[in-house]
Amino acid sequence: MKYLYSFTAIGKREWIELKRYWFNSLIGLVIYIGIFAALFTGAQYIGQNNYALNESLEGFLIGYALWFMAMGAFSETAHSIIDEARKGTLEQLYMTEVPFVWLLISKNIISTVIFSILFFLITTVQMYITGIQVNVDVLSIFITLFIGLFSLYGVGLIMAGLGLLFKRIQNLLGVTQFIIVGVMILSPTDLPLIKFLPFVYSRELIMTIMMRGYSILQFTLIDWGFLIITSLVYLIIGILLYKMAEKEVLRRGMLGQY
Amino acid sequence: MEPILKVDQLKKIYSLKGKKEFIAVDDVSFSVNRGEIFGLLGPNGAGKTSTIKCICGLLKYEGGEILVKGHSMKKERSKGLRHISAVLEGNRNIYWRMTVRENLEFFTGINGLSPAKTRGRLEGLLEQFQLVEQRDTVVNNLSRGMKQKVAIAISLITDKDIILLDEPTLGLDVGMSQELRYLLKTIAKEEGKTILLSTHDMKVVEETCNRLIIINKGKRIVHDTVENVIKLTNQENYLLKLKDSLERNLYEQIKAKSKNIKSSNDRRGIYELSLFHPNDLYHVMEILKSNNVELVSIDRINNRLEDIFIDLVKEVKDDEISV
Repeated sequence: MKYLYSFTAIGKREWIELKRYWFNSLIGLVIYIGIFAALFTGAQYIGQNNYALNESLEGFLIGYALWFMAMGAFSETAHSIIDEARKGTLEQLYMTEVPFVWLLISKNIISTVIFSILFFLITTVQMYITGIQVNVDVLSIFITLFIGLFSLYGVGLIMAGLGLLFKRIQNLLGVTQFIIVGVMILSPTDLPLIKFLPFVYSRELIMTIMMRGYSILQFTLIDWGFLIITSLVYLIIGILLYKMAEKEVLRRGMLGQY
Repeated sequence: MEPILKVDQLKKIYSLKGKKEFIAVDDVSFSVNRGEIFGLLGPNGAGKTSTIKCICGLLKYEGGEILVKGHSMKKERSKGLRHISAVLEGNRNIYWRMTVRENLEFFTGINGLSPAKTRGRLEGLLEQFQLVEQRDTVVNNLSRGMKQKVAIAISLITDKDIILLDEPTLGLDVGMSQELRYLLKTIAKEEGKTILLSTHDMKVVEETCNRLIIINKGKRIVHDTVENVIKLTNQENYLLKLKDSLERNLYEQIKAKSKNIKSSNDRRGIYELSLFHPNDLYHVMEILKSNNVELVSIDRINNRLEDIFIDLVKEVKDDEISV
């Protein structure tokens, strides 16, 4: 039961922060949609009467929303740990009876639910703005997104570990954001090896669901295997590297310092 | 009686590649009994915070052992943590953007306890700490003293046996510091909690602690009851009230005969005199009499922990001690 209570406590805290600072969250969404509308208008203007562009615009709509999710998931883990260290609350979280990794996983599960809701909200608004219709199979998208985002949490954990060790890693976080843009653009059809990168396979599957009307029932065993294994591998690598960094931080006594 | 907390030959070494090793805690041993308030004293950089962080599992130690209710913090950290809560770095350990109640509920939950089952305790703590009116106030909007009270209340919400407090009265005004001292005594006496506090504030230690340890440069200097530590000094303190301030040469003459002399900053003619031996007072009186200095009164002052502390930790600078 103690794991359930700690999970609920983390969920309640996230909800309180979201509710209390709703204006900041809303402005973030408005800016995001505003930039999308501007980019979309530009793309339409350049490709007027270009039939081939229609499909690209669908891809752009979904890709942009997924990029937003990916950025959130990756930076959420890294930023939240660094932020707790900066505030001085990380030490308290390390002194609880439940392992700190459980608290992190709890936060990630809750964040995934929030991100998924935002994803559907943003996609709906984007469809309204552009007039483009895509297949919004809520269950299929949610499950694929839920599993896929854990690979990015793994990357976030590596960043968080580096953040605890080196304190200032803003430049590295900035560069990684550009790498994620690359991950969102490149297709495994052109470069097969990139499907081993975090979130790439999930992104492809979500694109297939939304653009071609697939559902998770049509996923092959290879699809499921790749989706789950890549996410698990990145999450495990993330946890292991974070644990290594944590061990060093506990030896140096730097947990509460920032 | 088996101590609830035992620190045995603790050693903490900080080592960074390419840099010289730094021994922060060197062979420090002490034990704390259930229901006791135990003081951990030392000047800045003495190793107090390192010791506390080793005890609560936030810092790995290289030598010795820490036993919390018999559990080794090296081998059974999670079992040891079941009995420890801590307030570190003043009041930074709480969420300033959440209300007092939300903080208490959050820390109950993440420690694996049911907020519904601990509601009674939460209400009791709000009352005990006089935070009922502030229960729905965001912590950021509270005064420093209030924040400190919230942090201590949070450390008690999980009902653990040992509370570690690092500088609990730092930056508090006189009234709030007094209130906190009273609270600490109540917690130990009425709830049977064991409190280990690290502080610069000698008044807190004198008023609340049963026993103490003084460390300097990572090493133990003294470990005894507060009463016995105060008896350690052989100096005699007197408060002299003179009609007028002493002239410079007279001041120097008395200074030469005494261990220390301090003049009051805000009142003329009042001096605090520390002597090595009661007989030295005769010499001082002779100097005053032969120079026709009018004496208003003379009173003996009991030894204070502050004086002993300064004596024992000679390297400490005056400005590092707050009284």
